[in-house]
Amino acid sequence: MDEDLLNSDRGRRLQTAFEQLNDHQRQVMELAYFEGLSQSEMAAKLNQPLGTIKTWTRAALQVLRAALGENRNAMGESTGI
Amino acid sequence: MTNEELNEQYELFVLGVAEPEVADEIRAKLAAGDPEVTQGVALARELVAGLAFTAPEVDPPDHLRKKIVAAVSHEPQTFPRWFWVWATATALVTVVAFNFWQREQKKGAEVAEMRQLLIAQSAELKTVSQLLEFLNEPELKLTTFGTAQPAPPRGRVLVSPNKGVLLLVSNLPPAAQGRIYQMWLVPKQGGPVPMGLFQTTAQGTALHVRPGTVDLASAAAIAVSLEPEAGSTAPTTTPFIIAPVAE
Repeated sequence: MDEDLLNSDRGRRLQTAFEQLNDHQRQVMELAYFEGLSQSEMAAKLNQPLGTIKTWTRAALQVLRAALGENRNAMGESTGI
Repeated sequence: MTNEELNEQYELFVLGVAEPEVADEIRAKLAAGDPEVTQGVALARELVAGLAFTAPEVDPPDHLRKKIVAAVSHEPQTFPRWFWVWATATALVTVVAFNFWQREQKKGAEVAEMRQLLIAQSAELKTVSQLLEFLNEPELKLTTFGTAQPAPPRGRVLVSPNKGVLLLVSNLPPAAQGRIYQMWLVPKQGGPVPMGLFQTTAQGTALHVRPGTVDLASAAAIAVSLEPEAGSTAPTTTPFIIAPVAE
């Protein structure tokens, strides 16, 4: 039950963070999650440079990871968005 | 790639959408037991599973909602005839009794509402748990549908021989009043097997999980059709999603 509560809390934080993503960030996450598109496929679909897609994806993941409170600095993640 | 560069790719890897060369590199490092990559992928699985909370909260059909409310509500309170005779003669007692009755009814409704909330939250947690289990399945089969269509819907199907079927769909408008979407397992031989009902959000997305075992050798496809609200034992409309199950 404690684990459920913990998961629920994490889920809520993730949901809140997801709602805070800007349109581009949310779009790339939805395309990956719901449509299974790779970053190069997203670039083609959205008619954007691959680098732009990577930037949006990276920013979205940083927001979502931060919401989970995971300490990834030790793994080399930059903290800026 | 360095681990720092791979760090941006773990969630995409878990979702199965990392570029092939990146996915190969992550797999190789996982196989080699790289602790940094192993931890990163584990955390990514948690995040991806948690994304289920961003998926639609499905409102149950009216008939189901009524059944749930009826199941958790108190029985209607009744009073014997003599009570009303006596209450008419004593207005004050009637008022007290009425207030008490109102309070009980309100309390009953609140209890029912709280139970419904708990049921919904339990279901949500269960979905996230199931998604996480799916992503950890080594024999997971993943297929996409609708990508070649100019119009929606699009999505992905994850089939696990041990965990069942998970459907992610987007660009699918909510079913009209009195209708609902139904998922089917289409075997290579025989008729489609019902795999549960689901609804989409106003944004047109849905995540539907059907736990259980799946015989991949005999499964041909996962399909979705529009059905009456109570569901059907066999499709009554032509399935508009057909995702082949990759062997």
